Amino acid sequence: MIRITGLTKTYQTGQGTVKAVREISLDIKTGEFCILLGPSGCGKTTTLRCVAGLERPDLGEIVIEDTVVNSHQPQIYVAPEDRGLGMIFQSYAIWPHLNVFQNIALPLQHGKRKLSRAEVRDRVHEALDLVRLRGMETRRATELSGGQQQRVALARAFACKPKVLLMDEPLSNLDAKLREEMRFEIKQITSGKGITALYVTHDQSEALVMADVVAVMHGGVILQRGSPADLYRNPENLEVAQFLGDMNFIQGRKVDGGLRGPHQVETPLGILTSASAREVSRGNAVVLGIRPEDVRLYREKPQADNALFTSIVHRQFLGNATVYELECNGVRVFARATIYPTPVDSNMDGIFAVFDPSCLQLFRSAESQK
Amino acid sequence: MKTNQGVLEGGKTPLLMLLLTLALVLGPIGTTIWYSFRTGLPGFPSPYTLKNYVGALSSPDTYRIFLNTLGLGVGTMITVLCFGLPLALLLGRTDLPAKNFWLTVLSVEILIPGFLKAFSWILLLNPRTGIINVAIMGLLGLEKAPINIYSLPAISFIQGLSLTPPAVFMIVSAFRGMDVSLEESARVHGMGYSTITRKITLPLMMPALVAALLYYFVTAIETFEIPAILGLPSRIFVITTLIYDQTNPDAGLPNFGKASSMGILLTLLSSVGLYFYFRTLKKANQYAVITGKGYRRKEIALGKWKWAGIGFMLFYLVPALILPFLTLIWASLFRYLQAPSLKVLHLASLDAYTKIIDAAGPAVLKNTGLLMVITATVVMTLSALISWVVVRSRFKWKKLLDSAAFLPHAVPSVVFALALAVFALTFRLPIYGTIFILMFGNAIKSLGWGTRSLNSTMIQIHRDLEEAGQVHGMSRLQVLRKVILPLIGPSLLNGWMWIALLALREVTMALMLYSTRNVVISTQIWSLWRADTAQAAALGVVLVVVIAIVWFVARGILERRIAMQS
Repeated sequence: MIRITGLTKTYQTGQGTVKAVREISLDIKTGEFCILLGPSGCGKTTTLRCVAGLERPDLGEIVIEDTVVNSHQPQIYVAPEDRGLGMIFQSYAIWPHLNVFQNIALPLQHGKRKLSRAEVRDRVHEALDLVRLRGMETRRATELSGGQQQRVALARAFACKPKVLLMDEPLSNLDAKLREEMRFEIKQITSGKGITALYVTHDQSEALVMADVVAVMHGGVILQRGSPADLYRNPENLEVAQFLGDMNFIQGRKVDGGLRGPHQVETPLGILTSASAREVSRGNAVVLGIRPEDVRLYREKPQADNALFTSIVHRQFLGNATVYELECNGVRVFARATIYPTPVDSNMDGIFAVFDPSCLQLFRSAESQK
Repeated sequence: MKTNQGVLEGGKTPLLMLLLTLALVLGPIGTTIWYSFRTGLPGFPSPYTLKNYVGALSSPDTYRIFLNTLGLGVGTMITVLCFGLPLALLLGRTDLPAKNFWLTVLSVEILIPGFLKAFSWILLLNPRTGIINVAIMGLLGLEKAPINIYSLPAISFIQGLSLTPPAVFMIVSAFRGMDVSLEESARVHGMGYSTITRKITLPLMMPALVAALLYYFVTAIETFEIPAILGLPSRIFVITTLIYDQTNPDAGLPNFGKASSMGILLTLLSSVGLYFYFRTLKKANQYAVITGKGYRRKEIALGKWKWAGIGFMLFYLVPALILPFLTLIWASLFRYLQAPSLKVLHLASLDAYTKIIDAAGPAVLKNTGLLMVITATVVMTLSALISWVVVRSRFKWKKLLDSAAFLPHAVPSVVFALALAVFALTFRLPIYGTIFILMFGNAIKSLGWGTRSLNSTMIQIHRDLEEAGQVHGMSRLQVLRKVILPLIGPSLLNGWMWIALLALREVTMALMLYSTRNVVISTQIWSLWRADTAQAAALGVVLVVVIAIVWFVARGILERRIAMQS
């Protein structure tokens, strides 16, 4: 549905040239909900705006539903209004001089679509039903709450019956509770209507909850693309691992084991075993990673690989879980225990922690990558 | 990195705008600089010379005139401080009753031409027949008039009164930008209002206050009408009136070379003032904190001091507005000015009002109307284009464009009019002596104000609002018609109205570029004054009433529309 090939975009700023996006390629299938995830300045918004036609890329090709909308050779550029899109902006972009009905109707009356009066009315009502704002037609846009403005923006996009829906951090201005509600609602409507969506966010939990496919961006390139579960369980590199969820990192050096594992890694905690299938030769500096929920805690020394005795430095009760900050040989590790009763008593100051080899990720460390 | 820049890059238009603006602004000014090194009449060959500068700098007259100018600046500044600071405190920080009313009155006062007030004060205080002088002389049995209106202190005082309202608006907006928590924390820690005012508020306000005073110092040395009316009769010159005198001499040929060199010196002098103004402003902005919405500054409750507050408002408004206006009305009723008393009421007549159309003359009314409409339309169109480029585009030299549009604001009106005259004469442009040269002058002078006000409007209109239209299938033209224009419309109209009214009250350039073909109401009143005071006064009264009504109505309608959208 959307195919991006070799997209490159640079900006001239006061400080010189900034390469916002470097030769990225991405394929999004019809009906898929794709999220571009990354920190601010990673190029995700630029990519989205190139798809919208609001930016002209320097190089690369963008195809929307078999129509080339951008290409370098031959020179093709289809204007935003001719791309048949819907878009939700971070600021909602609700026109303040119009009421709710007019906000949704304006593109239908004056845009490329030019529908009859009756059709416009039907479309607007249908869209308002969809976002549960029926009866608010004559409200002024400026009298709406943030959540309602968000819904009007959604309705406006849906009323255009777009081939592709673009969303640029649409939930970042809402409060936490409303944000969770809207996540669910947006996902439900798009998948119900079979709309292809491209969604930009820096919020990892949004990506994990909503996406069919996540593309993690950093420094203008896509680091990894996959389903949320795939990305969470098997991050390909340190940046993705750092960006998605929490992870403990332990510096080390591979001392033994096969090229594709299991790897024996010398760390300040002793020799640890990782079952990762990543190719690493002996002698290379590596970083081991384990998610806090994968750290198992035992009162007695268990018969297992990678079992260590650690002291408890700090504990944080979160209600549905407890997070322990553990220390061993100067290395601090977080463990998240969700079972109740926890294996830890309030008076204990030490416990056994096990890093299961299958849960212990292995990355090439930043120095050895260069 | 910010990526909110779209495809709306606009091709060659911004470059054309820049070149046009630079040509409009630098053409006349450059010609004046060039001309200040020459003698003779513009458009005729003459040698290059330093005579104008050498002559000016070696003459003791010049130094006296410079001292007069500085004295006028300082005197005005002190008057503005004495009235402006208390007024700004009352209107910006206290719960003074009917605050909006007072603010509207002050904004109308800005629009009332200074020359009308100066004429009124002559009627009140001239040494021979001034109403107040005569009354005091009679009361105390004095031989000589106690107050001489034709003196530098009087000029400074009256000029200060008429520059106070804009200064109040400037200081009040600085008050509003101040972080309220700075004072609240002082209050929580046990300090009282008066201590906070002395120890926190005023020190924090100082840079903004000094900036405002510097700005009005510069404005004072640049103004022409009040020093011309009150200074020329007793031959007290300041630089602006000297320039006028050199280009419109009572006898002999105009000396454009000398006028140009004085103009350049005046511009340099005000540039120094503006330099310090911008430096202080930068400091003031460091103290300013942008606070979130919904915040409301706590106002100081005046309590029983309320009446003292209203008293001070009147203490300012009586000499600044009420007394001059009543004098003007009184003068318009009598063919020969009478001291106010009930005995002379039978001599009063409305003749001056019934003859008003004839007195103004259809040509003058047509000129005035054209001047207002075309100036305002041209300024707002150009300003909208420039602001759009400055705020929205990725044009490389947009900062230069912004400065170029603001530059004429820094050139005194007298000098700018002189520049236009020299420019038009040198290049034999047919606009010299027509109403078009006045439009040209007014338009370029107002461009700085127009772009500043539209810049702030455009910044508030998020780019997303345009792009939302585009992405959902509206062409750029449709977005312009259906989204942008409705949003900036009220501001455009508001600005249009303000500039039209400023053009209506403008007299400096109109006098400098005066010819029998381009008389407008302001210059008509000016020349009628000596021949038929009652008629001139009646025209003045009508002018003030029209300005006040238009502004009250326009503000009422437009402010509601602007408020509805924000």
